[in-house]
Amino acid sequence: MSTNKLPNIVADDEFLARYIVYGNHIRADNTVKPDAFVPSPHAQLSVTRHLGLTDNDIWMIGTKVAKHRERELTGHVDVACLHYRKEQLCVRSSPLPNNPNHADVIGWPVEKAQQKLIALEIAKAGIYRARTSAAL
Amino acid sequence: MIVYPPYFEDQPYQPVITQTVDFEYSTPKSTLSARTIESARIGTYTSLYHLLLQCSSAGWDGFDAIPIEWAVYARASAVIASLPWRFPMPSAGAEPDGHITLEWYISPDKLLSVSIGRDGLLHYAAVIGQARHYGVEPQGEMFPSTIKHLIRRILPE
Repeated sequence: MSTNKLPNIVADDEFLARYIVYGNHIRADNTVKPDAFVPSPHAQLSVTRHLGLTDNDIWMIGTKVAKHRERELTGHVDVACLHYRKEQLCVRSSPLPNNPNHADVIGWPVEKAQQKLIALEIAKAGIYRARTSAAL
Repeated sequence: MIVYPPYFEDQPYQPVITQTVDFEYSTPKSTLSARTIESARIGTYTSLYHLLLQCSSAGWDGFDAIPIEWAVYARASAVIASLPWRFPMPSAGAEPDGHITLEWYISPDKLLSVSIGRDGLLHYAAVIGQARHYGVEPQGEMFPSTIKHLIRRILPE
């Protein structure tokens, strides 16, 4: 995994991975449900920046995230930062000790229905990558 | 009208027929039998119950998700029960803030998602082609007409 310090500002074209550990968040046609992008109770959405990571690193971080909650990693959904910004959200670098590439998506509206509409748009832009045996 | 009680594992599913069925939603192409409709409903109740079991602990999404509470499950069951007869059944899901979602999905450009929480409100958002809709409706005995209208727009002709 890259140990180089990442730029604090997340660029528009950077891809951000949202890890999926709950299979219900993926539909039968391999598209992602908006449910996976509704912010947590803290009104932020945890994502991992692809920058400086290999494909294998991205899977390794996801596996750790899932293990921490005693869950199994299903896959990850990649969305370019620009899509979050188009919805008037902010992407803030927020490194964690076990994941220096961690970032938070913040600035969500308070109204639940508005959050849902944004989640719908982001899910639409997402590219789902299912975990396969070759992924790790 | 048919009243559907919530689905419990230790209690066999038993719809209670209270009066003649009112076919509120029917298209010329609709040839669904009562048995098909009923099994679709039972399937939805079952998936709701599984969802309750799978998401009843904190962090079920791998992050900080709030557990789905029994009260929210009961509300979601009541919403399903209030759906007009012959309406297509949604797929059930869960959101990290402890809401249950009901989704009517055709494609990423044609879908409606309704969230049910503890507040007794139905928070909905829909993408229908270029159009965007969102809002809140109170949960009552009758399924809200605003949301019914959106479902009709999403369904294939």
